[in-house]
Amino acid sequence: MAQCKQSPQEFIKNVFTPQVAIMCTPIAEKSCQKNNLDFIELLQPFSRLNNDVHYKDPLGANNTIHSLKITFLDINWRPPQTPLARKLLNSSVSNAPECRNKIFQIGEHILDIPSGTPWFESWRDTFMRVQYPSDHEFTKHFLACILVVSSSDNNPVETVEKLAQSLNQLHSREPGKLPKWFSSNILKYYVIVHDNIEGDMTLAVKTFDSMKISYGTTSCFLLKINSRSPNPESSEHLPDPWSQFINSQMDMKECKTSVDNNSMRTSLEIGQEAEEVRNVSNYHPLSPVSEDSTLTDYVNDEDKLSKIPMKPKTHGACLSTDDVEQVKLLVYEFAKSRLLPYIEKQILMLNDVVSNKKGVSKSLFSATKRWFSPNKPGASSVAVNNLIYSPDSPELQIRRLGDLYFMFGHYSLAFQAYHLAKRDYNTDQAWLYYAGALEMAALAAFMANESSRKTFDYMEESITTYLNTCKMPQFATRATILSSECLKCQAMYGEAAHQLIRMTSEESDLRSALLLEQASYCFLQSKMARKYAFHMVLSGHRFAKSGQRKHSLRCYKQAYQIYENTGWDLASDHIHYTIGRQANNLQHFDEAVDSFVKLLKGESKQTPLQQALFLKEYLTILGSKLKTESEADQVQNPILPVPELDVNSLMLLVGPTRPLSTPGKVSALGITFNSAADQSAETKWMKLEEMLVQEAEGGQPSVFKPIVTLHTANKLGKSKPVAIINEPIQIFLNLFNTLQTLLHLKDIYLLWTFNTGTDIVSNEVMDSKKDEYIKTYITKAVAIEGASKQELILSLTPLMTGHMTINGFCYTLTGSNAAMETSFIKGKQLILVPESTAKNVQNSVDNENKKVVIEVDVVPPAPCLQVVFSEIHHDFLANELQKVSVDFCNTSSVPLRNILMATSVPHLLSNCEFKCDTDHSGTHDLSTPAAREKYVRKNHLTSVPLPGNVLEPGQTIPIHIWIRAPNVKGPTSIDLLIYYENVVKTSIPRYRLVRHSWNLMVQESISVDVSTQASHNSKIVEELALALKITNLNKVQNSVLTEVMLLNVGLLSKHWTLTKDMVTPKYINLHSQQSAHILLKARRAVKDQSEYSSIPLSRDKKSIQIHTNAYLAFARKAEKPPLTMFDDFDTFSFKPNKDGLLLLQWQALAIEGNKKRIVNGQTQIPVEINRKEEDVIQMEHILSDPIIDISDKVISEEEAAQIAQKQVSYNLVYHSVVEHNFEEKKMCIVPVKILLHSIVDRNVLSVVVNTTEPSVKPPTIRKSNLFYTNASSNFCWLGNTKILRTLHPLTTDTVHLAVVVTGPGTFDLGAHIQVSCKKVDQAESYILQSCQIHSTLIVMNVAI
Amino acid sequence: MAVCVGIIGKDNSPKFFTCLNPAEELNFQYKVLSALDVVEEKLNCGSKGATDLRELYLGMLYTLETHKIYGYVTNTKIKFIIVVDSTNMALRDNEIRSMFRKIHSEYADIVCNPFYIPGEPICSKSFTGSIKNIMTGTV
Repeated sequence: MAQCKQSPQEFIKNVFTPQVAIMCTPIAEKSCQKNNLDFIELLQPFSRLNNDVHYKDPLGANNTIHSLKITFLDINWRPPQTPLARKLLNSSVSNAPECRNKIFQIGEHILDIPSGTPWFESWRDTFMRVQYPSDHEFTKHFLACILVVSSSDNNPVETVEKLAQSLNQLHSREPGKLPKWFSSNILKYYVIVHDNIEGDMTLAVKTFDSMKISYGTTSCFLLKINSRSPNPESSEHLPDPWSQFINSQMDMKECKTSVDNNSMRTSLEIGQEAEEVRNVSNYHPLSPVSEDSTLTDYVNDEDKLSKIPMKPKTHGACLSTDDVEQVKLLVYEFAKSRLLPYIEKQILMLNDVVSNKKGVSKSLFSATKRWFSPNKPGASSVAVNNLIYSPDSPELQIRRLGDLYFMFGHYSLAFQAYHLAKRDYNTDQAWLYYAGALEMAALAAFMANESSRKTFDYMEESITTYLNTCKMPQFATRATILSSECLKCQAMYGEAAHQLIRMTSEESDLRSALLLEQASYCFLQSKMARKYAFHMVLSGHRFAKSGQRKHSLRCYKQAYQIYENTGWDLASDHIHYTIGRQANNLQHFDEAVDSFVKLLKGESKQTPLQQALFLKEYLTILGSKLKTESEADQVQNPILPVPELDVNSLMLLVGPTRPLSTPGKVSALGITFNSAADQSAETKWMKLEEMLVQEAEGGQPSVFKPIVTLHTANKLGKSKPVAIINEPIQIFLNLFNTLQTLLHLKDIYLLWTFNTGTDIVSNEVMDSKKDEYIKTYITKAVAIEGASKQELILSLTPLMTGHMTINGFCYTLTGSNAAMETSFIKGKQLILVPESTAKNVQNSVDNENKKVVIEVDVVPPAPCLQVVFSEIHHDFLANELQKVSVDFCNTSSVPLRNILMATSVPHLLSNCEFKCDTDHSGTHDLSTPAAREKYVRKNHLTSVPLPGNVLEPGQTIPIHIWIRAPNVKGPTSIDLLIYYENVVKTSIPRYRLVRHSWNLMVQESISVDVSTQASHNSKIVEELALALKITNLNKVQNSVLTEVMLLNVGLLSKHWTLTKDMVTPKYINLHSQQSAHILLKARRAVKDQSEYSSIPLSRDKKSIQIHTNAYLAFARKAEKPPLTMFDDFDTFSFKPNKDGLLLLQWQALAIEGNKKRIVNGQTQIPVEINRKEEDVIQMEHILSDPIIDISDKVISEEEAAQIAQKQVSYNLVYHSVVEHNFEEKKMCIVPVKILLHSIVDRNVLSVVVNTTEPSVKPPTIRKSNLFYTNASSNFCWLGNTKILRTLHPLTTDTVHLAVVVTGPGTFDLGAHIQVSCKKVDQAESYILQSCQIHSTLIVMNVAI
Repeated sequence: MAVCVGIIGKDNSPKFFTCLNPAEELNFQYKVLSALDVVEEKLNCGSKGATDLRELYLGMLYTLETHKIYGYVTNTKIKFIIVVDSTNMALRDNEIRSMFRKIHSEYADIVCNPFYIPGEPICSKSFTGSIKNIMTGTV
């Protein structure tokens, strides 16, 4: 809390000191001037008595006064005129010394407030000094006069007389004029100043003696001074008691001289109180009228003053220690022997008058007045101040007495006198006198330590009377200042604050500001922090209005300590704004900029308009700050607060530039800033990379570390990115404009520091050399809308190897969108990424704020492969094939080698154009995980053949690849990761990667249904009937219309080959939702490897041939186990397809709007032979057994039996209709060939064909009763009934049989043949095969 | 119909502030801030007199030329301030009291919300909505 230097008692004492006038002859003055002092100044340090003095009060008690202070004033001294007074008050505040701050704790707030308010004290002292003496009080009236002559005067005695005469003249003038005297009987004291060196001692003593005779011994004093020659050296060791007093006087004098003299003419105060009232109401020293103008004058004056260095004057250079003692003695003698006896006399006299008066009753007039008039000040405010007592009226004598008591420290008696006076004045409605008496009564009570509630009420009433009834605010202010001190001393802070706040008015901003500040300190004392802050703001506001910027700034800063982080946003915005402006005005640019930064940062409730204003002002202030700094040669870009940088979304990408796009060509997508978002894709790429590295290295690297080219913010803290010379480094920034106004950013570029090992270069300072090291790209302009985000990519290209640090980015900020706007500031923002090392994970909370700059290593050139693809349409039909040409070009200056490609979807990508797959073995040992992995790697990877296995710089290699759309509708993507190595093994980076992916949109094409059936008409080998139903799935309402033409149907199988005997139409064209049915026949042809056989469905053979390679390549891929690295190796089980793959190649015309596109495709369908009879019983059997036990993995017995019953199929070859003349020959022998097909592909079977007797055959369930199973006796097999054969897997054997028919009829041959088989070398019983054939033999009797 | 509702926390920092006309928010903030002095005074007096602790409604804090300001303090020293237009004669003491009670129950609800950290400014949309409803008297 701001403490005053003086205690309230001391302060009050000092305000009310006895005043003594001084009249000095010019020569006496001159001898004093030798010491750079005038006579008053000479006395001043000694005006406070060190010794106690005594006087007797009327009751005879002896009173002791400790350290009496006497104020000496020139008799011609006048209170300064209003403009001057105003200046004095202003300068007293602004020149007051700064005060050290101290910590004050209130609640949870810890405040840093000044420990004292010297500006207030100095203002208070000045305020007291500039007050005019008024007639209603006598404390400012001269009690005595000291007449000073010099012994060098022509005739000192005469001169003294002359002085006395002029004093009498002054006094006898009209009583209203200054100077005012306490009583008509002026105490005179005569002093002869004697210059010890120049003057004649004898003459001086003579004069002194004569004066003693004429005026009395005690009234005269011979002051011998200047006994020392002004010797600069010797003056050193003497203390200079004057300096502290002189300095405070100095400005007053300076100002005085500057004030024009015509105001001095009116200095003779003619008017009485009425005059003063006029003065006050019209131009009170602190009235706001023209205050600002005088203030600017004042500021100029101040400048002038400060520019002229004050001459260091030494005071008292001619005074020896004895001389100083003489001066002290003079004061003491004066006080003791002259002043106090005089006072004693006066008190006695006045006391008599007063006590006499008590007996005499009041005049009738006043008595009646007392009864008939309201007895309250203010009630009859019309008739104020019209009562003027004559200077020696008894009412005033009481007041005089009180004043004397008060000045000489007898407070209790003073209180009584004042109290008495107060009553009289109240009765007489002399309100000014009344208020004065009340004020003094309260003070006297306080000084006598008898203050009570009542006395404070006196003060309260005094102030209100001064203020409201008398309209004399300066007296009210004085009373308030005094009163608040008393109240504070009694710890009545609330009341003190209340009084102080009441005195704030529109009249004077300075006064209001000071009083408000004091009030706020009072609130602080009573623990009302919020009120303190609020009044501090008010005070700051008034300080600002009165031009005291320094104090205004201080007040606002103090208030902010409370308002900080409380959530009163608008209030703290106001404080920030004002602090900013005031600090700017005071040229404290750093502070101004800081507070404006706070204003601009974060969310705000301000309107966009207001924010634009803030921004504009901020830029202006920053501009002026930079201007002053540039004058001081401190060119440093400021750190700008807006827009906000989101560090967490920052990304850094190192990598080669993408080539310029050429029509029809697409360069590899590479890595972009978007790819960081997709984590699953990222792991996929990483897996691919791992495979490529394993493949290239041959062995398994112990720890696989993927090459990182895209660094996110949290990765940057951990690892240092490596950039390659001549390749750009890009930084992705996310800027957030929290303001609601548009922000224009111009010329944005990155700031870097480059360390080449020998020297350090930075582009922060303008240097032409910097482009040799790093090329910096400048983004021209970016506009960010209010409250929105803007993404920004900035790049650099290092041109030398070394170590680079990216410090931040630099831009020119322009506020608001006005075209005329000229305030733009070049500033920067630092890019700091959070540092997170593995070590301090546990105390990561502490490291939250630890941030580091981005560091990048620049390494020598590395090979750079540019991959360009031919452009393809991204709308695919399912199973569509497209050929893509790929150009590999080494754009770097270093050769590269070993290009590998990897994809995550091997079945959708084919390398058949440049590489024929030699691995047709078909059998893959997938039992162990390692083997599987190797297989999978083979599946995914392919190498690109290079001439000499090195791609020289500038060389280009074109290859072609095929891509295929998957069978399912929807979006899909085909990835390609290309790997290449540096020729030099040890270089960094060892290898590099190029990414590409095609994002395809797949639409439906055709669907193919295949149903197969074993043919019963095989002549030589087993045959298969294939029924295809092909449907164009394209729907009419689809945006793309497709018309599919079937080109070719093929079969890729180890066991079957398509037979060509098929009638095909010229073309099969399928429109939307049309279908075609095709019947095909395949013949058993067992081969080592699957072979391809095809039947063209279109006459146009050309179009098929072109793509056959690709078709086949994809077909072969489909044949192999579709194992990829993304499958789970352990649970993967693959059943190789036995019967082959049916391929349907087609060409479609896709029409989308006006665009037509010819699409080639191939649909692959695995063939599965359905050997099951469509038996009713079986159907029933299935229906009756709906519960299928899934958990049972073991093939159930029944199923096993079924499989066992299907090892051999057979059919009969014979003439179905035989004509025979039974007349001629009784017996008809029909040869029947039975073809036995083994349909197992592993075991050699031994087959038994049993031509049983019809009677033996057990009755089977008939389908109809149209014929008898029990054969007629007309039918009989010829030859042995059991034929044993050995069948090799998937072969066909022929058994020749013959049937004897004795009569015409239709016979079922199948019914009489049973085929059983068993594995050749196993002792198991023969199993009856379930192949049921109903072959009818018709024998007709042909009669000749 | 109230024109402004403020909820001030224990430490006299605003937790919630809404007024019908957002442009006048600064003005109302000033009024509510100054009302806190009166609240404080009333609370201090109340502790001396040991008046009925269950009475949370403080009544009219002060009147301005244009507005009347009412206060309500919970037992946990959360202050609710309602500013009413002076010309509005429809609102009597009882209505104000019931408004405060509604606000209090809304406030209790928001404090019960596990996602609300006590002491933080309230920025729930539904809370704002229901307070607005209370203000306009549509509840």
